Amino acid sequence: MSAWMPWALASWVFGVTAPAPPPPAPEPIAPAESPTPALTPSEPPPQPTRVVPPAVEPSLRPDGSLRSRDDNGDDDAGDAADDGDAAAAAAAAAADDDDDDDDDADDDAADDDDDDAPLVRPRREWLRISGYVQPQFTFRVRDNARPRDQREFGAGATRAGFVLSGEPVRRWFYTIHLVVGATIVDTITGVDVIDQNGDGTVDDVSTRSEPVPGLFIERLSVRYRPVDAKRSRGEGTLVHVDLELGQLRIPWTVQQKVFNAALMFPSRSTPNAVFLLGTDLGALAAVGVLQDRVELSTGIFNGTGLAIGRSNERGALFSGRIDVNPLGGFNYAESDLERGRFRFGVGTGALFFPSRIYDDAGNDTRTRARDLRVSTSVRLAVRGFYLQAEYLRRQRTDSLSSLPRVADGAYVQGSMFFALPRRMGIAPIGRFGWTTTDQRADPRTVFYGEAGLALYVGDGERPDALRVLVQYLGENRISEYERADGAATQLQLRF
Amino acid sequence: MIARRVVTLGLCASTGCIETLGSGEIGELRTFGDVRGAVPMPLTAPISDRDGNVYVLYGAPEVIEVTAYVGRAGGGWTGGCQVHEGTQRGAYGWVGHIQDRAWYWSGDALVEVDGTTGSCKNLLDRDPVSAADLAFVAVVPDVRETPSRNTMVAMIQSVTDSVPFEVVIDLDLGIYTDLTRFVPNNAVDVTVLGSGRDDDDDDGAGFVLVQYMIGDALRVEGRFLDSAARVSDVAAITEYPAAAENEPPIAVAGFLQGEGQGWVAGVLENGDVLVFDRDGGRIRATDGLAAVGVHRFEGTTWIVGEKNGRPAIAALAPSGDIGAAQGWVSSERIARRLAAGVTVLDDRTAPIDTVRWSSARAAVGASAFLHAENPHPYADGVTLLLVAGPAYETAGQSFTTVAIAPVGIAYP
Repeated sequence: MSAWMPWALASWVFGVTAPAPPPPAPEPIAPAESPTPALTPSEPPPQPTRVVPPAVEPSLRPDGSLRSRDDNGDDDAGDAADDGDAAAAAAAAAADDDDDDDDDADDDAADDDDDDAPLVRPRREWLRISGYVQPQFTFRVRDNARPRDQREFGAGATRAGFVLSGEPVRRWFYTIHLVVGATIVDTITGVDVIDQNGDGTVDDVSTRSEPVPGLFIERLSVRYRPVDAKRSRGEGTLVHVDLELGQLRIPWTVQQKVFNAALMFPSRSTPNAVFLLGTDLGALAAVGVLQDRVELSTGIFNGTGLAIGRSNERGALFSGRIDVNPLGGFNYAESDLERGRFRFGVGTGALFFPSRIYDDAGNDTRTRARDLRVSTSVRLAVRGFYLQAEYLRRQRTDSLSSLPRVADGAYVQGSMFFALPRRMGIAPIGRFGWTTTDQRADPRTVFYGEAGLALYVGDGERPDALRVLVQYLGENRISEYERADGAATQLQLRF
Repeated sequence: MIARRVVTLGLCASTGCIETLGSGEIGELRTFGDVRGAVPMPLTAPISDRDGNVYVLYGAPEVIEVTAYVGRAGGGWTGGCQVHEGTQRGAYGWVGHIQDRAWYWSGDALVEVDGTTGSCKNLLDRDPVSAADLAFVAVVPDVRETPSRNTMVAMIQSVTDSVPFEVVIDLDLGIYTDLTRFVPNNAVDVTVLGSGRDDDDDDGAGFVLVQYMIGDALRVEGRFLDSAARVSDVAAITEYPAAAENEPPIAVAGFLQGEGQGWVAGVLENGDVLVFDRDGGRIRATDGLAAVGVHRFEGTTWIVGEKNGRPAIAALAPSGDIGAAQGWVSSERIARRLAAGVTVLDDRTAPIDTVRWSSARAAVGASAFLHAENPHPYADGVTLLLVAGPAYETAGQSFTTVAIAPVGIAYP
């Protein structure tokens, strides 16, 4: 037994996060066309006889550890059970033995294999810390802007994410994902009135503000998994149900389901942000069937972002999404670093937000608004090639204005990952997007183009432990006669 | 097939099918105020911003006062802004909008109105450098809205300037840039007779019609301005009608309109129709149409007015000639529906209520849409219409309750 084996065993049994194991036995670096993934760690280390083998055709998280295909690339504790993570799965299975004689029938099959289970009471994973640091430098040229703003450069998009997660109670998971950014939020610290002609009346108002670094909550939620049925332990789940409550991204599009550090580009596509931005507060129920070949989610959210009780528009936003991955679960990471077999997925999502509108005094204006957003997506990956496309549409009507707000948008993005020696890899990436908003009144059409190169450096545990990305950024606002071009370079270090 | 119908019905039931108002259809009428005067009322064509707030301006060139009203997209009204400058001329009308703001031009003032709060601000009332009082002698009714800034082309002049300057107004910062002195420098009594926007040239801002004296010679010119406020072409206008003695020159009613093939048209206050392009221009005959304005709709420019007491309309041909006048069905259809009575929402104060007007009519012009300004393109085939309701007298003055509604419009 090698020196790291005790850590692996402890990790499996007690949920302790072990230091990174040493690289597996040196193996030849496969050429790009080799069917053997070059950047993925080697097979899981030899396991004790009691340890259940990983799921059939195990895939790897962006961090290099085992996961199932519904993983979104983050490192929250839920992934452990989501994913059949060996450590957590074993712990959960052992817990089944000890705690849940009355467990549902779904677990019986798994329990059948438990006769030889070690008589060790597992500990829950109280806390797992992971995250990413993303310094980024951007240069942008916008010729039609004011002279001062025609050339912009700086590291304003730099950010870091911290993910705290765990499973302190069996089947109850929590995730706290904080993002600290160099994005400056101007906080008003003073207001002065301006009397330009000295007549004693206020002509204007001047404000003083102080820049404050931004701190954003990406996810703050508790998740309960009441159903987690497997045919046999180690295999992917036949059916699992998750109930989540808190602040999170509404899983309306594929990109909304992708972890920040698993995006193909430094940020989500602009069309995605035009139709749905940021996080919301609410509850989500998700079901995965047949090893996530079919994924369903439905939720209810605040609908106006985080502005609880501040907006004059009141209602509840209902969300729904279905993803079908006929060839097996397909994880939500916008790359194919594992260079796996052919995977394919289609999906569609909808948001419906009926609302009442009140005036500033709190009176009902009798205005009723209905906001419907739909999206469809297609994804495929094979041997390092990854392609993702989404179409988005929004239509909002109300009982007062007779002014339909209709918007359409779409994007397609792709990458091709090539393995290089020394656990490195390189991937050309590209994305093209389009939005047309206010279609029924004063259409505004914008095209977006991005292209670049990503260099990955793996550390044996993660194939993307370090990513260096250089890209071109383009934006052509057709209706507004304005164009912007630029370049960005981002360094991403995950921990 | 059945599934598709179910889905379609479900979408329609849940969100409302995305159908805009048809020609002659009237949307929700909203009362915004009791306005002094009787039909036809001194009101300019209303507009809306991208957020859906609607803006109404009480005022007219011959009325030396204004009041701006703002109807919020979600219901309720604010406003009462009365910023105006100058004693020679009243309101020209709304000259542009962006996401949640709009601007009107009244007398010498360019005024910004906030759609969210209803507050207003007099832009560049004084020169930021010299503190001299500035007058907007021309405003091209087009806001160039971009992510980096919002601008507008105008001509400004202070009392110490012998000629005006063409400038780009930065509407966010309230400053002017790209200052260009009017040419020729020795021009005297430069007077702007009209302005308009160019919808067809990406880099073009619009046009101004000016007259000035060089020695004893009177010149009338159509000037083409680009987005940097540079004059790209000057067209000499012939046969321009002379004003009566001791009267101000005859100006354009409303705004000039482009045609798409290079022509620019405007109806003068005396009813003549002026058409010019970059090579020159003159007054054109109208086939018996008593013109009141020039409208632009879906790429076609129309001369609108009355013929034989009925609303009529004539297209401006690619040759610059005015086509034969024909009846305007859409205008008459709206008039009939209003005359039959309408239900009006009064959402100015709580509790919000509805009232029934047994009879109503267009508040501006002899019939619906018969006004000098171009109807605001509110949505596909939909514009905003001001509707006059009950009138009453108090303290010796007559007042009329006026409402606004989106209505379907079509040009034959």
